Amino acid sequence: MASHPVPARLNPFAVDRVTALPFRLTAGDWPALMTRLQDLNYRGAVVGPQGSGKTTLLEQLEREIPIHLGRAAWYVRMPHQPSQRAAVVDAVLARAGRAIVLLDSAEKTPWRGWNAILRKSRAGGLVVAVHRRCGLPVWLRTTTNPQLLTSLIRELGYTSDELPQDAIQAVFRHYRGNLREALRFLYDQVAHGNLPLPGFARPPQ
Amino acid sequence: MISIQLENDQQAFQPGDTIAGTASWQDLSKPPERVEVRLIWFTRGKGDLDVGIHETRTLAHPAESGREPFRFVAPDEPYSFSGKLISLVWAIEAIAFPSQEAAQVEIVVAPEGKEILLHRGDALSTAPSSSF
Repeated sequence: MASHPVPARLNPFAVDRVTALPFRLTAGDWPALMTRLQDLNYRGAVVGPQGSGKTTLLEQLEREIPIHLGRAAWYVRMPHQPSQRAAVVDAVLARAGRAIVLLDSAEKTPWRGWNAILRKSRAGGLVVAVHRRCGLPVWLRTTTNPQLLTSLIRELGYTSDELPQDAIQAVFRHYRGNLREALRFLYDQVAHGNLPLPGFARPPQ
Repeated sequence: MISIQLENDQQAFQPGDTIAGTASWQDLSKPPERVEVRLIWFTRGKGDLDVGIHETRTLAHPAESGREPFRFVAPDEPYSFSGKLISLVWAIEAIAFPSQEAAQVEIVVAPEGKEILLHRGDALSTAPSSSF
């Protein structure tokens, strides 16, 4: 079903649209989650595989923590480039003790910096996103399933007629549950005209 | 609630054109301390978002509900464009502070008011076993 290429601004799977989708709690609710974080003295790990929503959760926590806990929260990602990591460690140490630091890609933190962050954050709080256990208690495990991918796709505007469940499940399986990669694949399918825009998003002819 | 109405509902402009309209607000969740109307551009697509603020009009100490006309000159560059991977989109944005309630209207700024399209009808990407 190939048609014309689609401009990026119309693509339902554009990054800004995907990242605007709220994190889906698969169990419990925000107040229960916050109580558990309090019980952990505001220090815990979000553990899950790539593309399971850890970044989305941490970004959302930056907004939810002040609402539910009345405390400041600050999101930061440890950069991919090793040469840039020391500066981020310094920035985290400057904030630690005054805010709950939400450290994404925490496994990239240099060892010395990690120990310093653990020490300094005892006063303020620290939530890290990692792929496996890291020494902090596990606060939440992120998981994915085909229903989760389906709900995201439906929220982006596709009906079951436009993008059926079996096609979504095939994409989910192909990307082994990595929702980020699955959604990037769907972006390409729309961009190249393999997958039509959802009905509501089609520009008038 | 905050909204933007462009004059004559015009949404396509050439560089140097006047972009005129009115920002309106009422029933905000917090009384506004200022209202900003901005001419901005941003990128949308497969990669990270980039944003630039070209010009800002600030209304200090506005009434709890009100209307404020605005005028901008459409910039010389960059032009609105779209490819398959990225679009550059111009927009008028109105934001009330401190509630940060906002409205945005996307516009085109390019010669003849026509977005520049970069993509060709080229080959399709490889796909997993699923088909659409």
